[in-house]
Amino acid sequence: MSAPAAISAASETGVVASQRRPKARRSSTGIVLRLILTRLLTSLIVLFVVTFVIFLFVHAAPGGPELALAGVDATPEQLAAIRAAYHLDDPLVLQYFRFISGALGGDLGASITMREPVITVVSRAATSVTLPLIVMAWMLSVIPGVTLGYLSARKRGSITDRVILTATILGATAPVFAVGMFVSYVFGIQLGWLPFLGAGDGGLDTLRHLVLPAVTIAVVLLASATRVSRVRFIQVIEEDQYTFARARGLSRSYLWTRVVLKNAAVHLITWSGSLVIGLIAGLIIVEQIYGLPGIGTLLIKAIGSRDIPLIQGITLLIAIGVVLINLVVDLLCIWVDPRIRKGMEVER
Amino acid sequence: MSHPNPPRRWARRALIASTLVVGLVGLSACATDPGGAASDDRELDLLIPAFPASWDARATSGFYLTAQLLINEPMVALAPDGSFVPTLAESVDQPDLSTYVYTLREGVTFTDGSPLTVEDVLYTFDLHSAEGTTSFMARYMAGIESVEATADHEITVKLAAPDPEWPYTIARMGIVSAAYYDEHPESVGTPDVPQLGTGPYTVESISAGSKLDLERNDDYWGAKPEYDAINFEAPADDNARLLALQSGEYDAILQAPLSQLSSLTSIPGYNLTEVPEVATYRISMDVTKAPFDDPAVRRAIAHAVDREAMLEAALSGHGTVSNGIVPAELLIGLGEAQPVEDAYESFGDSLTYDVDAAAEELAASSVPDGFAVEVLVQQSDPAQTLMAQILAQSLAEIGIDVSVSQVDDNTFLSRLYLDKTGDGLVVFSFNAGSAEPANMARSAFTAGDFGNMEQFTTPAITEALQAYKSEEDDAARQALLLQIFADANAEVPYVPVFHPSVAAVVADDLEVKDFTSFWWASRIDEIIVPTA
Repeated sequence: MSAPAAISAASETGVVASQRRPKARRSSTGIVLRLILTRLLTSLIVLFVVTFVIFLFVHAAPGGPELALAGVDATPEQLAAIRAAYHLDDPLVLQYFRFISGALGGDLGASITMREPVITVVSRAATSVTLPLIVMAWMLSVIPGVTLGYLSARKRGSITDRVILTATILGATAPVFAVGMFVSYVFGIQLGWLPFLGAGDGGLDTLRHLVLPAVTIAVVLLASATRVSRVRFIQVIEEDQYTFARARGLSRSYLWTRVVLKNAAVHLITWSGSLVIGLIAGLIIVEQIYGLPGIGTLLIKAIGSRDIPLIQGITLLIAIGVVLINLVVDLLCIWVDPRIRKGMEVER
Repeated sequence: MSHPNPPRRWARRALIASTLVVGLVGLSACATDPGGAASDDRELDLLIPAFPASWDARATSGFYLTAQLLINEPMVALAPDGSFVPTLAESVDQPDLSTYVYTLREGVTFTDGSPLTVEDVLYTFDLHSAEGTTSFMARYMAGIESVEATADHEITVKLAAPDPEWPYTIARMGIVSAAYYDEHPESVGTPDVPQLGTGPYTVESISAGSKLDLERNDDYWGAKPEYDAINFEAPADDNARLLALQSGEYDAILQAPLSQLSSLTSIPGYNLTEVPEVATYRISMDVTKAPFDDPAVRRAIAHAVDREAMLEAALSGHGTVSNGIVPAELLIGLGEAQPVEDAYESFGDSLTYDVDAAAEELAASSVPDGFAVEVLVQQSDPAQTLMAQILAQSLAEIGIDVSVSQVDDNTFLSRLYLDKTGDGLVVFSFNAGSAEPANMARSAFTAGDFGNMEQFTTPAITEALQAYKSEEDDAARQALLLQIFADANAEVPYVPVFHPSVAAVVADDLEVKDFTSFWWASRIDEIIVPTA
């Protein structure tokens, strides 16, 4: 990642002139395109390495999909026939080549145990559960987190500040499964507001089923969201530009939106992007707790049954997702901070 | 100074964000509760332990069949009371011990309106028995010599040898539509191509891996099924299962985890039904691997197993300590109780928990100074770990150093069953695949079978298993099985520890009839019925 703190250390509200390299003035489109291209190229290498390492891990693990497919009553001949049908006895290099050439053509093969194309299985799990859950959890952590960070930065050292920090830290120190239990017991059973098992019947019903899982993730992430934004807001407040803007008699709302929030934006966007990536690990647990048929549950099942194409497909798509999130973060930063798109970025 | 983002836009964004939050909260507030007392509107909402990867007929066995057989009916069904009931077959003739003639019921249709024909039955047989099939039932089908349509509505199955297991196999084989399978090669049973059958229920919706909703088949040829709908869910998390029952939205948990029974039964409005499962936890010793090839070592270990403590620790007592690898009741069901009770009592002599006796046996063995051994247990079954830890403590007293390794099921199976790379000492849990009394014995003493973790068999046992197949007299069958167990017991290849319970926790307004270890092989709407 770029160094967001350095990027936003200066602002455009009058102190731009203090930039170290104001001379670089390439066209914005060129810079953006170059950035996207570099990102995509490095991503390709990352993806290649990821698929290869996962491929080796899967093959190094004892067992194979034939046991999951035919069960313990399977005869040795039956197991051998299945291995042959799925080319599991071919040399590893050949198997990897087959996977990679398929993947390059957009074909990730079919799940051995689920009897459906990997793309179908994964996109169903992603669109029906995991993506909406990520978006919801992200919103529920970032929006209140930044709001709380804003409040406590504004009233630094006050009782409000202390209460906010203590409460969010309490949430962050609780393990995800404990929060899940608590949240589903209180809101699912005692209050009976929301369902806490399964993903519902699609549409609005699924969204209802995703609220408690999203809240569970958000409770855990809220502390870091609050802390990161609070620290960043305070940093900006302590900068000369803030004092200067204040001295000019600019309104309070102007100060907070144009000076503080805007200067903190690049940092917060970069951080919230990494938050989404960090979410993925927590998602697996949350999906298990709430019985959600999302990517995490799918991955656990795939590993358990050694469903090689499915494991490969899921990990590849997660890796692609991470790459895309990073790209989106970069583009958002460019959009928010004109210095980057004008090539005035420092310490990249 | 340029202002690409005038201040107002930030305010607008904040407004959008807060609207979204309010929207989410609103979503929860306007939510209506879809659940409720299910039996009022004659729906049955059930929690089962897991779902199969696919509802393809080849990929379901054990408790998955509870849903599968409601959709795809078998030719002859197993009634909850253990009797066989002709369903898609109007009648079954058995001209000799290894020939079965099934006469198909006329006028039966699949839920897409197409008629059931002999082609569908032949296709189903082929699905399970073709070379290289992935079917869980392939081993049970291996004895087929021929399956033919011998008339318009008649199918004749010839087996290579008599097989007492056959009627049970047929009762687990739901008939699929040949045309539907041809139309959707390799994808029947997936969420996009749900199963199609002639059964009392049909698929209303599947959400992949987490929910299966069945609705009544209004064109069902038989009596109108009790419930409008039967819905299955399979929470992976123990706590979620507990909370689910607490919410009151479910009617029953079937095959409830024994470690959770005390919590589950403390929920008001639910009752526990607990019966012995035809399953056994045992300590297996691979007789082909040193030092377990030495009978003295095996006898030493047998005396070091504290079976009562294991039952208490692993299942909180929800089971029965046993001297045999099948529950005595199963054998008593074949004839007199006395011979079974006497035999089981005598099996107990080599199984007493006596560390001094264990030490003496070990001192006289090929490894008097003890040895180190790794015991593999399945992560998915915490009971095995608890048992292995108790075993490790006792064995440490006589100088055997046990390290317990938790592995996932696939690793467990491949190391112990396929590659045989275990150290030879295993905490093993094995359950019967069918209600046929010799089912477990056959698996436990057939060379190369998964159930034969000990790799133990003798010519006499093989011969007795063979004789059992053509024996028609139940008392004689009982004697043969007792002989097999006595022969095995004398060699101590295993230490039977206990038979677990099988439990259902069911809502008060429902009644549980004939709940057995094989509840999943019969229609669940006939086992769980509304209280009269």
